Amino acid sequence: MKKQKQTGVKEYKIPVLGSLGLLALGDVGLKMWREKRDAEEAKEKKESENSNSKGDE
Amino acid sequence: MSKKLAKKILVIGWDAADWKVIMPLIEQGKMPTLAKFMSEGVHGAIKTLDPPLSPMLWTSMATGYRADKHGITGFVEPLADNSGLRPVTSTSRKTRAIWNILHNQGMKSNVVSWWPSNPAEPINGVMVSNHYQVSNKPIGENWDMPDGTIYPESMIDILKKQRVHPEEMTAAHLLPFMPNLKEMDKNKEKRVKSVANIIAQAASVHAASTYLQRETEWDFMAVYHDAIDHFCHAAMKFHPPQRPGIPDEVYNNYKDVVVSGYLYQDMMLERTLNQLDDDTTVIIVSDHGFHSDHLRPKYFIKEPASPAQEHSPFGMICMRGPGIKKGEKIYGASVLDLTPTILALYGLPIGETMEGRPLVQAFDEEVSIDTIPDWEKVEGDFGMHSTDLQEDPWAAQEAMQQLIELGYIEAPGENIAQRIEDIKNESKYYVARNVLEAGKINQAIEILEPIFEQTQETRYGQKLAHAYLSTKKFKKCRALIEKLKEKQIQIKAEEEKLSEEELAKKKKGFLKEIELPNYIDYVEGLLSMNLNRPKKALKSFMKVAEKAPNSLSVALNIGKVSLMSQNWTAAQDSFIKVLAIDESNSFAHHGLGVAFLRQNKLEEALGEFLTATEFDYFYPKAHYHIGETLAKLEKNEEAAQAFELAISMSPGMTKAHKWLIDIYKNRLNESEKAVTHENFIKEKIKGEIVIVSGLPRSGTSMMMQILDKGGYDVLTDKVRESDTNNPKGYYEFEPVKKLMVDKSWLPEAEGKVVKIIAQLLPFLPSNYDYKIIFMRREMSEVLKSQQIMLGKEGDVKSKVFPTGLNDAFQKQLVKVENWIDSQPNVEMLSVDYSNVIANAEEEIDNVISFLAKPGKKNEMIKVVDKKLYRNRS
Repeated sequence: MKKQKQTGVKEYKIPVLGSLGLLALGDVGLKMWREKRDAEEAKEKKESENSNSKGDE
Repeated sequence: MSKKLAKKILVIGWDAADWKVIMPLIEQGKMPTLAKFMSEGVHGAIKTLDPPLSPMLWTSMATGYRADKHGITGFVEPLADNSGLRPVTSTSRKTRAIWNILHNQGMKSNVVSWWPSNPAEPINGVMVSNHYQVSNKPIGENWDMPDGTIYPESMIDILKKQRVHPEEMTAAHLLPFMPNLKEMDKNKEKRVKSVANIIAQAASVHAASTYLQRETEWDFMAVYHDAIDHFCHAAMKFHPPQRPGIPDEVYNNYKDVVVSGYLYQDMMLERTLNQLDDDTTVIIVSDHGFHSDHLRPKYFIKEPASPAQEHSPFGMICMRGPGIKKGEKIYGASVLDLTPTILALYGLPIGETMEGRPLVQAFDEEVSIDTIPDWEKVEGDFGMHSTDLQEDPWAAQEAMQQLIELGYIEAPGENIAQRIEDIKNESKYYVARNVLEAGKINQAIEILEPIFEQTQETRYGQKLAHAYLSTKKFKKCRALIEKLKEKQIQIKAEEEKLSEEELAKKKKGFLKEIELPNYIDYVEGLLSMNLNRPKKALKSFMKVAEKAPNSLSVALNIGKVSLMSQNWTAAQDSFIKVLAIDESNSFAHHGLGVAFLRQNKLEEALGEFLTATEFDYFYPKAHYHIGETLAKLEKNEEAAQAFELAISMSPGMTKAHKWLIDIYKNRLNESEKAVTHENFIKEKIKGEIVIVSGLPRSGTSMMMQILDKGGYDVLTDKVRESDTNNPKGYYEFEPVKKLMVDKSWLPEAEGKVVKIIAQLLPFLPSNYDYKIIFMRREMSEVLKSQQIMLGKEGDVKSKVFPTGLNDAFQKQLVKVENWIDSQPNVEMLSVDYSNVIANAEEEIDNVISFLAKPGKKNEMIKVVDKKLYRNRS
């Protein structure tokens, strides 16, 4: 008995909004999309905080 | 042990997937993964069970049993303390599922979201229950994983992360389903939320399964997806072509939902297959289909679980991988066959009590199939819950809400006790339908009689009438039909009292008026057909057809009665209609062929007969008709082959032997071949005997007298003289009583009419052709009459009859009927005693037509003496 192979993962450009294609990639696609989305959200949050702090100066 | 064809098996369940939607998409290149899969394996239709309710069906698939055995009888069940309802649970399953058997055999399984699988069972492997992906709370609120969702607990943390919340869905996910999304008012469009929910749930199941598929070791894996079913329930009404009454705007908003659902499923399949090793056998299967064309119901008949009316009787199955043929079609699969097929692929024995069979036609080599008496009786560890397991009621709440939103169940409301009682009765009704379909009619009657008595619910009465009909309880059936008609009048009277507004409210979404009379007329049609009244039957069926133009069973029966009445064009139209609904219906192909043949449309007839045998190869009558058609087309060699084939399947088929004699002697100049068949006819088929049969005291003597007066040659020795029980004589022939041991008198009966009681019929030798006029009479009347004849009038007055006699006679009748059905040299006409009394002329017309020999009709009618109808029930 052995584990299943992992093949067929192609190079994808990960859109922030995700895609059906990414969901169809299962756990791997979901993880990739959430990382991208969360990173983008964190970046936006940081930018927003920065701009707010600049406004305060 | 049988040969093991498969090392690993993956089953992917696609609830409601249907070839009618898939095939056009494949032709357009839109489902490339499934298309490739099909070319590498086998595919075919799979027959669902009645009622087509998913929890019952997926449990039948996982166990090989129907609902009366497996115990999952609907969508919901009462809590153990009757304080409320919950979705059906794995603890209610009474039989072992495939993963339990594999656990016992030391194999490792992953099961994801099978319906119902909550609470997850402690199997060797991982089980993710069907509550895993459900969420009805806003994102950000605590989305806990209730106890029982996942086994083993060590997998909870990792699998929890694989769940996708509906509110995570973005325009990128939704636009392929609803291209006008940006113009739609999403707050007002409940369906947008539904679509997001379905996409997210499918993504959750897929993420969990792809993770487990890749990161765990397993021998067997089963993954269930409900996305196609849910997309279809949400939007099939908007699927192209646009139907009358569907506004353009709504149509344009949702017309792509169903197709996109299938495409999404195909994309997920690609990933699943890409992760597989070459040594895995894969089965993709649905539990039922979904009407996608002109058969889409415009209205639901008002009943619980009414959305199931959109389900169609045939789903899809595809198999690929080690042990499976390539590029072939399979026929005749049933949802009950899945578990036996998996066991056979693993080389494990099939339980003899299982109701399905392995789909060996899909296997790439012939294997012997081992069996054991019953997997349920094997002792050992099967990875099941302990019997005293109590489920946390909280865990079921969200899943309950989802079932309510899908329309499968009603909200419990305030009167919980009544609702629980309703659910219990409804579950019994579902089981009755399930066993009725399996031919266990008496079991169905035992279930239906008390629930109809208690509730007077029309649907229960309808099914009960059908069950009575199937067991030839014509009088009970008639009485029930009358009762249902009375109820219909009551309902109409009550509706007349309602205001227009109240009535519109009551009927909203439903064509109430088709619910009751529709089915009553249908059963009445069947009753008339059983009593050999094709014209009356046709009238009833036509009434139903007006209101339910797309009913397969109605069209099929119109075809049957049209053939009986020799109305070939009407038969043709009806069978064409059946085939538009179910192109694989071999009976309809055969019936259509007969209709064409009798109109001398020989090429068309041949095509239909060939198709009938393609779907059901062991169909001797179809092979016979292929022979007859080819003979008429002067294709004599091929005709001879077809007749020979028909005879190989049904050796006593006299007509085929006679055709072969003609072809070999007169057309092919091969007289030596004709000799075999001439000898057969000479030795085996000695002539025709007309038999009047039935239970003693069912009117056989009366029928003998009718035939005697009609000028037919009756065989009687008048040893038994007339008496008060049979004042006009018994018309018996003493040697008949010794038929079991002495058949030497049969030549005397050639060309004559002889009376033989039903129980002796199976002792008739196969070397004669028989025409049997089978007298039927209500069993209570038969028993009453027999008791009087035996001098037990006291018993009759006190209505005390020998215990078990009724059942014993019923069983004997079933045995005799089975014998008649299996004999190619026997034709039968059923005649109901009370109908002869009430409608003598009509019944005597039927008898004369059956005998195909003119009789003195007026003399025959005079025999019927209403005064002799003494022992009515």
